[in-house]
Amino acid sequence: MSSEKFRKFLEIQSRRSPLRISEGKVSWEEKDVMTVSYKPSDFLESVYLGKELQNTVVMDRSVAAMLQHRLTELEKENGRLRKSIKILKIALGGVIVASALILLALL
Amino acid sequence: MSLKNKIKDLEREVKLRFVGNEEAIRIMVLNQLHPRSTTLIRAPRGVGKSTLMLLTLKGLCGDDLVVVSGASEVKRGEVVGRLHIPSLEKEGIERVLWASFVKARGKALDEVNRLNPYTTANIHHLMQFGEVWAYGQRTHVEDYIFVANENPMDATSFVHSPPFYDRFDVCLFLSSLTLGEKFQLQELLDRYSQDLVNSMPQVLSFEELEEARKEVAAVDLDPDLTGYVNLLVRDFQACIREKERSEIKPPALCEGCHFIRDICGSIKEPLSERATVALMHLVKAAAWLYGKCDLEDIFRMALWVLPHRVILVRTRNLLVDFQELLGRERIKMEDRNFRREWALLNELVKGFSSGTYRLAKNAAVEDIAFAEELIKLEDKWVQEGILKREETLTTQMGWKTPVHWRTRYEPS
Repeated sequence: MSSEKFRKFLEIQSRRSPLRISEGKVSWEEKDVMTVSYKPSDFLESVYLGKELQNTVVMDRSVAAMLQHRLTELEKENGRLRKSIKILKIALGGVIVASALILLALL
Repeated sequence: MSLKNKIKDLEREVKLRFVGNEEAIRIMVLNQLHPRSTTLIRAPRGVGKSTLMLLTLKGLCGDDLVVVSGASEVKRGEVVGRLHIPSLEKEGIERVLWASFVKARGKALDEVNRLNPYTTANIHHLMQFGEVWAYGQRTHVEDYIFVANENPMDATSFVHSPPFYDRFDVCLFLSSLTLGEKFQLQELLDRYSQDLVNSMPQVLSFEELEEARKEVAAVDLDPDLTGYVNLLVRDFQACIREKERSEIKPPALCEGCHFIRDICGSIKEPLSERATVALMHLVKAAAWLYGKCDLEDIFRMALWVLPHRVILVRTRNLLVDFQELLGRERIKMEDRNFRREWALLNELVKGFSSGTYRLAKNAAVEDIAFAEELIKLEDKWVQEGILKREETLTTQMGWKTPVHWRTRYEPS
């Protein structure tokens, strides 16, 4: 601790982040600190109740299974709808071609 | 024109002739503002290492510069000196003719990785002691600017020792040009008729540079800037298991260590004190030239001063890995403020208080640099009888502190 500059460094840093010492107790004020909660949050609460997700999210096995099932069903629905769109596109194309041929025949 | 404006002019003139790598040029110029400056430029072939080296030296030394090429099988006599044969033959006196490289103010070493170890040893001695020896005679080397460059990926490289590289103040890593920068280079080459180096004017004389160096040396840095530099280097050095002396190195040394997730766990060979000196030079130069320097500037400059001095446990891309370590160090410094470490230490330096000491002990468990200072105070309190040895941090944590950490307190 012999360096004067080291002591000044400690004093400057102390002024920037001061302590409050009274009756042997040490405390300080936190300003502009965004607290990150380390408590895990429930997944369903965030989905249905709009609560903020924390760093760790937990869910029951039944909820995970339900989500897995929903995802599988949605993928299947997706596949069915794509097939329907393809068929409709082919049908639409056929109608346009037929209309064009009829128009040519009439002319 | 003031010296500061001339230095800024030097930077501007180099940037007019060298495309891209603007931060490297800025650091190159700042690094010349202390005596016996040494700069290493590292880059793959053809990126402009020699060009940048010569532009800087021409700008500061004019024609008073000598280039030695490691690739040209240069011998010691051409770098240091040779015997004056007529004096030996006629008078029987061994007189040394010192090489131009020794006498010139601007010293350039191209492809230093290809320079043979015997000649490298002479360069090493010159950088360390400011003198050269030949045939039992010695000559003192005046103030100089020394710039070297290398492509360490070159297949024909010699492996120079870490202490040799440690004597370079900064290591500038250059990048190849982006698409747009290639167009800029072609325009530059046309403007200067393909001769960038010879078009470079001498912006200031060496005497003016020496004057500037004196002004920079006289800058008195704020204690907090000095503290940040010292703290940054210490965090890259400190090891509770004394890796500097240990035969076993990280990561094996870190097995079961309390600080395994700290920065020290990523460093195999720590920094030397030259890192502190070199970084301090840059900080003073920046404070003198720009009128200000803050913590962010220190971290930006550290990227040029520290990586070539340190061996990491695992290296994929040295600069990216080091930038990540500096990012972690930045967070660590903020964490210290959050834990009020320096305020606690400041109180304990004034006198022992059990409440403050308890908080400080908790903080020390997270921070080696802070723990070192607290341990020194604990030794003092144990000798004064304020504290028992069993209550100290080292005893409770089971740390085997090195003997030199313990100072023998002598009351004033």
